[in-house]
Amino acid sequence: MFILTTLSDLIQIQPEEFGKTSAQALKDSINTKYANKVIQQVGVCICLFDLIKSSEGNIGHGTGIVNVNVEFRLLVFRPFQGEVIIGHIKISDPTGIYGNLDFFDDVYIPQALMPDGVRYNAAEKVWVWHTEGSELFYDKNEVVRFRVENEHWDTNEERPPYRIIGSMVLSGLGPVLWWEETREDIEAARQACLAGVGNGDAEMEVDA
Amino acid sequence: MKILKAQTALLTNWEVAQILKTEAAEYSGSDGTARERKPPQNLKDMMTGASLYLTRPTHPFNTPTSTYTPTSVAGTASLMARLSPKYKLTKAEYIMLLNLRPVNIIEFEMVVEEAGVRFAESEQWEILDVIKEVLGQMPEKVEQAAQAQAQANGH
Repeated sequence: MFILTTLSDLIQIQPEEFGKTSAQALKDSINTKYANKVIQQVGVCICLFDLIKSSEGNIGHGTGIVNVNVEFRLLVFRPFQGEVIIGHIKISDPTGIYGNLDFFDDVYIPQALMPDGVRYNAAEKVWVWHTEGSELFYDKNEVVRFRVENEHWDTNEERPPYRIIGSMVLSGLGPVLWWEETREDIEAARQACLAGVGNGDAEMEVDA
Repeated sequence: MKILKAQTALLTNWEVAQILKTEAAEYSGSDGTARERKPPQNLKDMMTGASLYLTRPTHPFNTPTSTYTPTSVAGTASLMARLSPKYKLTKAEYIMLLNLRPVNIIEFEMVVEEAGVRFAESEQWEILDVIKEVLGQMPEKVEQAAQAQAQANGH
């Protein structure tokens, strides 16, 4: 979900920043330029991770601004295809569910990528999964797991620069609460499996 | 700006949570290095959102019984060090095992592609046991499960 990206860039330090040490001034300048910004085909920049190297500063004529060539690594949000991520439901509409990760909210799960048997309840503005005679609700603010299927990059400033298309088809995806089991149930399943293996061996012995 | 390498490393959520804490401590001055200063506004917005996300109790590493440490995540006693001699899992799968800490077969199959083909069910349980041992036991979910049931019935 999070990666490091190595960049080089010409970083400018304003004269009023000269009171800081060079490392802090560079760090603040890099963060001002990149934090909370999307780099196309790279991801959403969180913050500077570390400085790798920098040139001598060149003072700009007339402005007093110091220009420094810096190589650095950024901490970036860029989930990989197939990654399962925890988020929560922001809002639903007749086309699908919009997800949110607090710092990033361009997640979309279209109806086609939800399980068979989901229906939109327009009165309550909520998707409902009708399965085995029960109704399960994709409530607003519910904590969900979704799988990253696709990503959309866009340089048009009127649209989100980076969107994630997710799915909730596989077992275990969707609201986390649906899939929770007690320790007892988990232990029972584990024992059943181990017992099954034991039986298998026994049968083989009989066959032999 | 020039991208020298788009992806130099993959980090787990737990590692990113530690980085954000360190960053916040530097700007607030609470790390004792006298570097206290006001963060740029865009950085502050991002740090606030990302910290909120990563401190949510829904992340397995935030549960009271979890044992995420530098050694269990990346060191010699890490999940990867424990599992890799016997089981073939990809780097991406390790990241998801660490971020989601599966406790049952459904959750394991959710993050490990073709898990049923690659591993016998008994092997899957062995892997889950190692996860539990290295990253800690998940807290008991009885109450939450009961709540979910009540919620489902209520609608």
